[in-house]
Amino acid sequence: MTRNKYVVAFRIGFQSSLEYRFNFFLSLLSAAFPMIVQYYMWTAVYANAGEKDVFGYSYREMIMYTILAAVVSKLVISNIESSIAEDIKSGGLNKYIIQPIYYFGFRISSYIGQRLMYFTISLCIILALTYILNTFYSLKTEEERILIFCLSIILSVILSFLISYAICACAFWLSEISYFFVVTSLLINMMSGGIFPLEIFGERLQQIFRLLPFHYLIYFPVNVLSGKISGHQIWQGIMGQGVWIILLLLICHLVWKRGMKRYLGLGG
Amino acid sequence: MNFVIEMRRHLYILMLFAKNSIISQMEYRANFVTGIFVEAAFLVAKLLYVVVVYKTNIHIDGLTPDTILMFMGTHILLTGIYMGLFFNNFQRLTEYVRTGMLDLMIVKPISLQFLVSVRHIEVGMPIPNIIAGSIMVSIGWSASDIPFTLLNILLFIIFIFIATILTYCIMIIPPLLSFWFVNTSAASEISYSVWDANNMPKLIYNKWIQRIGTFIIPVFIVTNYAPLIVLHKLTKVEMVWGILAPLIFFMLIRMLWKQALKYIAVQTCNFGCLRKGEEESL
Repeated sequence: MTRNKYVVAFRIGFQSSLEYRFNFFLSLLSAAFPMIVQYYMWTAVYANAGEKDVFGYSYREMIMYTILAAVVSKLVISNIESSIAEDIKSGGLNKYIIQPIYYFGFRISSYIGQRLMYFTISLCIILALTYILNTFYSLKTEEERILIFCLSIILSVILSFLISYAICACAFWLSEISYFFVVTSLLINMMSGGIFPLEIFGERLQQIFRLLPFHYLIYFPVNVLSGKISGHQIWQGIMGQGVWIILLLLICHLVWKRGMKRYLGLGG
Repeated sequence: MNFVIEMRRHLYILMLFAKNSIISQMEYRANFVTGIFVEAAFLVAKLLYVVVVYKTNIHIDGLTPDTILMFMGTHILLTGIYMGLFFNNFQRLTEYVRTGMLDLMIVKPISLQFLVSVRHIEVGMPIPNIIAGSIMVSIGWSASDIPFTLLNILLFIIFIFIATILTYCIMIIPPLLSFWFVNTSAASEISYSVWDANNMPKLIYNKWIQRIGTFIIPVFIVTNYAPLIVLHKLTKVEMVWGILAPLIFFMLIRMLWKQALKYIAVQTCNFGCLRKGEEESL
């Protein structure tokens, strides 16, 4: 019986994700702390501001954003940089060069396998939180909005993988890379609205961020679900995600092609 | 007398560790500079909270944005102290357990807990936090009209010292868990989240969270007590608890450390017996 090699990579990824499942639940728990800080901080802010909107958000919208963004940021974060960089640095790519398998295909299959269970659980948590928040604040999220959110979050996960994969190619040029990934992931989290909504950065910076793909990772899907983005803006956003996925596929192809020319294959 | 001699000996060794760490870090200057950049990036993320505080002109239980800045500055300053003294060592502790290096370190003629806690002092990474934290405290101090007296400065420094001991006690717990569990990355992630959650004055939280953060996991003492004492907002009960807490929690950590070592000793003994049995059967 012949088995598709990418299906096997997917299955191995899925099995490895089951190994440290308790660790995953604890990492979800860690998302609760920034959520609590921001909840109390925004409550104090709105207690001062009264009924007024702050950064264009009502109190309910801000709380919803804070809670959902914390979980979504855990969901879309890829964490593949160090293992790919290790392959590049220690010559681990050698075996993929001589084997009849595309490294990109292997990585994305393994990544989907690794994230599938966490993705499903996180999605259930997000939907449960949305239901609780809606009940608490007497709001309603339409079924179509939930479906569009699911679509946008799938595109966000793909986008996140491609951004990380493109950044990983820097390991072909840089000697010390581990610190670099810490900085890039932090900056991406900030620019994608994972810490605060992008409105706090002011109009000018926000316009710059809109030209980049990062706001499609957290800011866009969260605001789709909370109802802050509506009408044609939703479809514009989905189109934007699609366009960036295509662009990043192209960027990944080009940078990895150039990077492979520099690859020395030491070790392995 | 014996205590004083031991104290002097350990302080001397601490200075040697610091000197040794500086020399080794100067060897890899690129890493030294990169470390500063990484911490500067984390600092930018923390400063986003300052932006929100000032842009929204938030007032918490009579605390103005300037006073809140002092609390945030204290948090950033303590983050710098933690990064400098303990972060590197706590990261390595997990590795010592995993690779068996701890077994070799036990034989050294010095307290093992002291050795693994302060052996590698980081010089570059704390720089952005210590500079930014000190500036923020100074701005907040001056804008809050706190008298710049010797007593106030002394009290602030004493509570920063108390906060450092408590920081040690709180942040060593996840690496200590690695004696029992292999993968403690999520426990560390939680401790960092708890640490970062401490960047706002405790007064924004409800009473129960304040009690838990003060008496059970004393993170709120770390950031809040130094500014509160100079603002004359620390009650007598809180002041007494602020002095007792580092002693109590340090003793608890010492007990946990001994338990962890006992566990490791039993595991090593079991492994030794197993090996001996295998060799005999061969």
